[in-house]
Amino acid sequence: MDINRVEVYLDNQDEPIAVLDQPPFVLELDPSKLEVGTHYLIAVVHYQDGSMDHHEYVFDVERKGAIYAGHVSRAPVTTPIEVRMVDRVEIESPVKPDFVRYGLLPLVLFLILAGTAAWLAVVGEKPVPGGVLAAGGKVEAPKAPAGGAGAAAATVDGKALYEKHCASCHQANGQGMPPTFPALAGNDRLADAEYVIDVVLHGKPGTAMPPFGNTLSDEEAAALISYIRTAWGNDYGPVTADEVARLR
Amino acid sequence: MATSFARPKIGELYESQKLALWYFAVAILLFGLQITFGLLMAYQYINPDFMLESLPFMTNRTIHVNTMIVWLLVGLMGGVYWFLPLETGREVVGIKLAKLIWWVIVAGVTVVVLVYLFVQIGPGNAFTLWFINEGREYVEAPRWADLAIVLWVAIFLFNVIATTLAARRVTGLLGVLIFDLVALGALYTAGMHYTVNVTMDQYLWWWVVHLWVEATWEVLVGVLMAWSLMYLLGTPRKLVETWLFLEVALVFGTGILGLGHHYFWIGTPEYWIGLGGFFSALEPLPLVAMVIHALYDSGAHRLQTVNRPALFWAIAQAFGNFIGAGMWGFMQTLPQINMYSHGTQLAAAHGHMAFFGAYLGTVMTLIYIAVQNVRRPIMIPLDSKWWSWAYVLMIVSIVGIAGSFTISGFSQTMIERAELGSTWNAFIQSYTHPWYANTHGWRYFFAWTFTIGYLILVYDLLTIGKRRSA
Repeated sequence: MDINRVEVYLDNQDEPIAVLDQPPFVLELDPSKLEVGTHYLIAVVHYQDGSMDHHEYVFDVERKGAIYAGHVSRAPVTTPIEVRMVDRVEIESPVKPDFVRYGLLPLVLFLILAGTAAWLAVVGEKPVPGGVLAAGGKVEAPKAPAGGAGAAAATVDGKALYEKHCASCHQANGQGMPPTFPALAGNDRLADAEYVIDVVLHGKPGTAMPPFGNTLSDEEAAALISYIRTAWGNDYGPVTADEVARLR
Repeated sequence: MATSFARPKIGELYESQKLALWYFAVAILLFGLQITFGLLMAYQYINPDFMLESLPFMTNRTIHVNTMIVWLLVGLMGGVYWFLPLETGREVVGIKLAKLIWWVIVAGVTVVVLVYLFVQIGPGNAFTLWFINEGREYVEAPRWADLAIVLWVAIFLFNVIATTLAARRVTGLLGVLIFDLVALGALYTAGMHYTVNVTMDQYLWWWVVHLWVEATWEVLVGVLMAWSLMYLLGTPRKLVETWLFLEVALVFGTGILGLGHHYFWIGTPEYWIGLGGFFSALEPLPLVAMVIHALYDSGAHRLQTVNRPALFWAIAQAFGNFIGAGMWGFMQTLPQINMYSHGTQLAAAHGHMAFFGAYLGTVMTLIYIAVQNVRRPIMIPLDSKWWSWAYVLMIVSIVGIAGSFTISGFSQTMIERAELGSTWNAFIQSYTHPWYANTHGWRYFFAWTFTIGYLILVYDLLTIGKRRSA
């Protein structure tokens, strides 16, 4: 519905303080010209079809020294006009920003903060006497265990591999922790060599058993599976690297 | 009389506000990306084999957390670009530079996300550090992107300072904003140093994760909420500034040494246990102040506002910040409890609730304020039936997500750590306990309701205030 004009009345005065007859319907109020305290503003809207509607604003004006502040503190729900308070706080008493305080000081603080972090990072690199970094500030790579990858072809220790990869779940004595981790000692399913090789290489989806196909070579897997099938009283016989390779 | 009528166009937007709209659009887009990867992770808890080879959980988490940090920061910075010209009464100085760095950042974020997705990890050398992944949790961005972010914040800081100086006036809010942005930019550099000493590395890393998010972001949010309340309720400047100064004093007074609650067990000196325990226990204080402030203002105005969704998000912000950051943080901040609870899913519960409350609430408030001023004619009060659906769905969902994390985190803390003493058996016992295992399903359910909430939110943002002519 089109608005014809808006009459704005202040504090129930008889004469409107403003008549806005074309958009934008913006009313600027200067609180320094008003009494201190609570004021009422009534906007009477006249529509093209002759109907009327009115909206009430309540706002407060306060004064401190020569400085006035006015705020529309309770906005009406549906309002056709915008009431802007001239903010005397900033117009009558503008605080000019000091270049040193708001320009240079932030820059200096920025550099101090970033510099402290950088300095601490450098200090963090320094060897602590008696610490792990004492020997020239370099961390030595852990020595490869004896009989590592190079010696694998000849004799791979299936027991050592079991203790490294399997024992944390299936336990060193092969008893496991049922029901999550089944026992391997006396487990009939170990009789099926292909099944065992498949589970070790590819894991068992949906359970905690991970695949070891990428971790173990054919020889290592064969040694490990042979150990499982012959340890703790098991008597299912060894498997060969060729069998493992076939099932990969 | 009809409640809707034509409202005239009042003024054009500043260039800075137009830039802010881009910030908000990208923020909402990245928010969607964050939810997508959160949903994927919630499913991977149920079916760990799902996409294990192509998109493992850890990569998803990196993207989930990184996009969150970026979109929230983008949203908050957008809020500053929105209010700065209104506060200073002039166009932002250096707006061309701001636009340039913005598009560099958008391109950079795209590249980083693609690298996370398709390259994921690299060998442990300098190339990986610079171009693939810096490796520190939550701030994995490669170093080139880190430098771009620092440059971005530096230009942003220049915009604010130069505009303030050019406008020849400074308000309390601007003063707080300037010094907060100094810390925001400078502290980020602390996460970029590489040291072989893990304790030292973590020590500086927490400067970013804690001081950034729990101090400088909180203050930035304080400034933005002050502007928002002045806009939404017409709260007098003197009132919001007084509250802001109080909150800033409390945030920095408790939060800087509260940093100690991350230094309990990482190899830092023992005095941090006392310092961190004491000051972090006080950290909820400023959050209580913010709740009182928001409630007081809203109550004083009887919820009469020019923008209903923005006001409700602002109220959710105050409560979410207090409950998520304050209560859920306090739950595990005392060293006696933290000894058993650190690194469990209680931390995830706290993280979800706190980020949602403190920062998502703020960004939503800002976006709804901006949306109101974009639509012509401007609708007062801004309202629709859809925003409340998104609002309720998202809040219920985040409570569900954080609640399920709390229960599973309790299972970990109690069974794995406290009762059974962190052995391998204890780990299995706690992870197979129903209180842990069943929460996966709940979380997945709430992840979906959250997603629906997001979709409704996007629809509402696109349509709210677009009224048919009466």
